[in-house]
Amino acid sequence: MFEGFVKPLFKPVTYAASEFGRVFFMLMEVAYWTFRGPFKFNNLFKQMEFIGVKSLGIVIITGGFTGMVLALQTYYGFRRFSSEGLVGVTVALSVTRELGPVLTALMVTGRAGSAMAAELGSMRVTEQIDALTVMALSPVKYLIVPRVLASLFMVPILTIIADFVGIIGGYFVGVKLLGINEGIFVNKMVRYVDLDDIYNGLAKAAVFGVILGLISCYKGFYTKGGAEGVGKATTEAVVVSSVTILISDYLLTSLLF
Amino acid sequence: MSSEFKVGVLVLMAIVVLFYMSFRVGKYGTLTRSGYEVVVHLPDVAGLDIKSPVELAGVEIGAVHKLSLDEYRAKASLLIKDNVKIPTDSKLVIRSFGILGDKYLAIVPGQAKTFLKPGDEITNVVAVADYDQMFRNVQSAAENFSDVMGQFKGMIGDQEKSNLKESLQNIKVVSGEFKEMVTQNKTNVTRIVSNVAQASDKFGPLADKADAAFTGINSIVRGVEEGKGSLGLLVKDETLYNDARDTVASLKTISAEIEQGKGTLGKLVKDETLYTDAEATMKSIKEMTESMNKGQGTLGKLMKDDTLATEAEKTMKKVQRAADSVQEQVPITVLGTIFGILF
Repeated sequence: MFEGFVKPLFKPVTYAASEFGRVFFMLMEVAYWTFRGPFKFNNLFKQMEFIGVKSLGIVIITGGFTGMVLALQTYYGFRRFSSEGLVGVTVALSVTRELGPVLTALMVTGRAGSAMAAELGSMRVTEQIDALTVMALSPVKYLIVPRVLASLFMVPILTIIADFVGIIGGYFVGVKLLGINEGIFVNKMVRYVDLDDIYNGLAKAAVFGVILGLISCYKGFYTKGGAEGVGKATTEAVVVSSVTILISDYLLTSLLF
Repeated sequence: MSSEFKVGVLVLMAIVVLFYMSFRVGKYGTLTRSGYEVVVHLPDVAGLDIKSPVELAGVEIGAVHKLSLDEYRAKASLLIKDNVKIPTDSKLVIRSFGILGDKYLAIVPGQAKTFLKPGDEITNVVAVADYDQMFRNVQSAAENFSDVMGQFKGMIGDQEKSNLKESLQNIKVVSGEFKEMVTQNKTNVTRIVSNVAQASDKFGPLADKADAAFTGINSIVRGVEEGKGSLGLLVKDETLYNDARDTVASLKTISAEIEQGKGTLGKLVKDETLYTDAEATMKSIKEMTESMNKGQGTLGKLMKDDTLATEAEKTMKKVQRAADSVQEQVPITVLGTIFGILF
């Protein structure tokens, strides 16, 4: 009876719980191996280049157009109260506090997270990870720690760029295209945006970086079954990372700020 | 190009951008705090926040640096730029940006030649009716109004309400009737008024006539008094009387003589033949008086013809009638005047 009815009923729950547990274990392992030598920065820089530098273009496009469309949308709203001057503040606050970190993390997940999962997945499928273990090299230290650390550092860096480009895009649309008074636009922005807004956004971005790196590596690391398994792992890595980023975004915002 | 270089460039770029943004945003923040502090006590700083701007003549000269509570009043420390000197008798006003409620502090500079030093207090705080207060006032006014209305409602019970209703209805009916009356009797009223006017016009000549009649009567009476005419003579001339007296006296003498039987008449008295003659004479005298009674002859006419009297009477009657009509017409005239004033 237990096997027949209750177990299938609880299967998703037990599956989710064991997944969460394995991810948490991996996080502990990453933390452990992060502070254990010998340190090989070469690997880390390679990952930073892959995650950070190569995502720059997509992040700039994302941030810029987000800021632009935000300026356009809020302009139509604020115009009804003839307070177009608040467009700048709205764009700056939205971008620095929320959209910059989240969209950057999502874009990095889509571009780098999927790549990480696919890479680790094919290494698992082709038994390269097993080979590392055989060679007494910790696959976590050698493969996962550089990726997680690289995304931990690079997502905030990219977020700064996205924030800046987003505000520039909002400024371009608001002042140059919609003709909002430049002084009011900039001064209100400067007056109402705090340093805390920017730094809190960056803190969130760092958390998002860890989440996307960890989940993508986990999904790739525990890939099962051939080329199909790799594809599945890649998809799951992106979906689970994105959903977790959005959920933790709400939790972080409500708890921290 | 090595990946270290690329990563380094990206990180450097990000740090530069972050510094730029931090510098722009944190103008009066912890990074670049400069200026001197001025203290001010305010009754209410709702809507005011740390970093709310302080403006002088619309130019930003500093910001609210600290907000704290000091004996149930808000104490605000303002960080003012070093190059701005504020006269000691300056006023401080809390103002809002638009209707959305963001507040800022405005300093209205005074005339004093001394300036505020760091740590000094601006004591002259002007209470300005901001939107909050305005809305509160409006609300309290509305509440008062509703109170008054409630009291009024309580004061007026059903009885009073119906009474009031009735009164209003009565007024309506009366005014309606009055209006109706006026419209219906418009011609009448006009006629009355014109009649009054006509009557007063006619009264003029009538009075003249009466006057003339009186004058006539008067002259007749005077004529009679003066002994003019037959009646006057009758009344005034003593000759006839004297003659009559003489006649009576002589008749007396004669009758005495007659009694004595002296003379002809005596003889006549004593003589019966004369008596019969005298009787016949008396008879004719009687006839004469009768004819006088019937109005024959001048004297008779005077005594008997009443034309003069009826004429006089007629005139008097006319005068009286005229006076009566005048009396009747006086109230109408008054009515006419009232209507004239009212309409």
